[in-house]
Amino acid sequence: MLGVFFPSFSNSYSLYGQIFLYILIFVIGVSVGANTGTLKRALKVLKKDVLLLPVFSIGGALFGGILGGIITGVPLKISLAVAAGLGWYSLAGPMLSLVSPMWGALAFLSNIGREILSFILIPFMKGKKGALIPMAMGGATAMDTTMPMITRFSGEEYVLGALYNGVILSMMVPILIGFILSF
Amino acid sequence: MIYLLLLFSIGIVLGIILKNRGKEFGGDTPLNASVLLMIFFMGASIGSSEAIRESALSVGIQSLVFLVFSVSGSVLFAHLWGRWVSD
Repeated sequence: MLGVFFPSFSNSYSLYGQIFLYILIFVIGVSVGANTGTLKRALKVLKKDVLLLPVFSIGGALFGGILGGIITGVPLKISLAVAAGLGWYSLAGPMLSLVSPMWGALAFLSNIGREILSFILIPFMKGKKGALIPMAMGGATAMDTTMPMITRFSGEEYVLGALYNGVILSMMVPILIGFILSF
Repeated sequence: MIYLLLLFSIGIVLGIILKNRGKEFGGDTPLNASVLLMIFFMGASIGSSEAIRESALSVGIQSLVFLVFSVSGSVLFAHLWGRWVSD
């Protein structure tokens, strides 16, 4: 609403948004670094199917992003960057808004939608393969907001797996989006 | 964008060095504060964009398409991986 009623300050909004984005990225980096102990524990305990799940979650999301870009006509670079948000709307949106507010809005809405959709569908997604599909669906949110859903409907034994997947994907989101947008 | 990645990397190194203190520094309060302020100004930036105001419906539809395809892609690949591992 601030932007709607005071559009002339758009450059300032963009600047302040960038400043807080830089601060957020730094704080996230510290948080990720401080949690490397969890990753080390996970690497010792988890089986191969869960350990390599982030690769397939990311690959699938990017593949879906390419298809989404073909259907909507959004440029390939932006399509991949939006899909690389992996559900982390509060980071993907601002990072893409550095390119254009339009793409920032797209990334924000599609990734918040991913989180909401995960909440709705995770209870129905547990299969014979345990929690692989719920964890992939949750994406970067598997370590926090969707973890209770994953463990409730798939089992407490998947807490570490969900945390591991969420941490890895969360770590990859800024790297992937930054790498894709650098082209 | 390179500065973002650089800041992120520096943060990771600092978090590894600080360990438990790093969890407090990178914990809920600074994280939530940064997110809220950033989201606020991002919203203001989006709201001030005439292009977005004019194409709000198409942005909404595009975001639906992306969310369906990106989630479906992740789920499909995870399912195929699960089958590969169990076979």
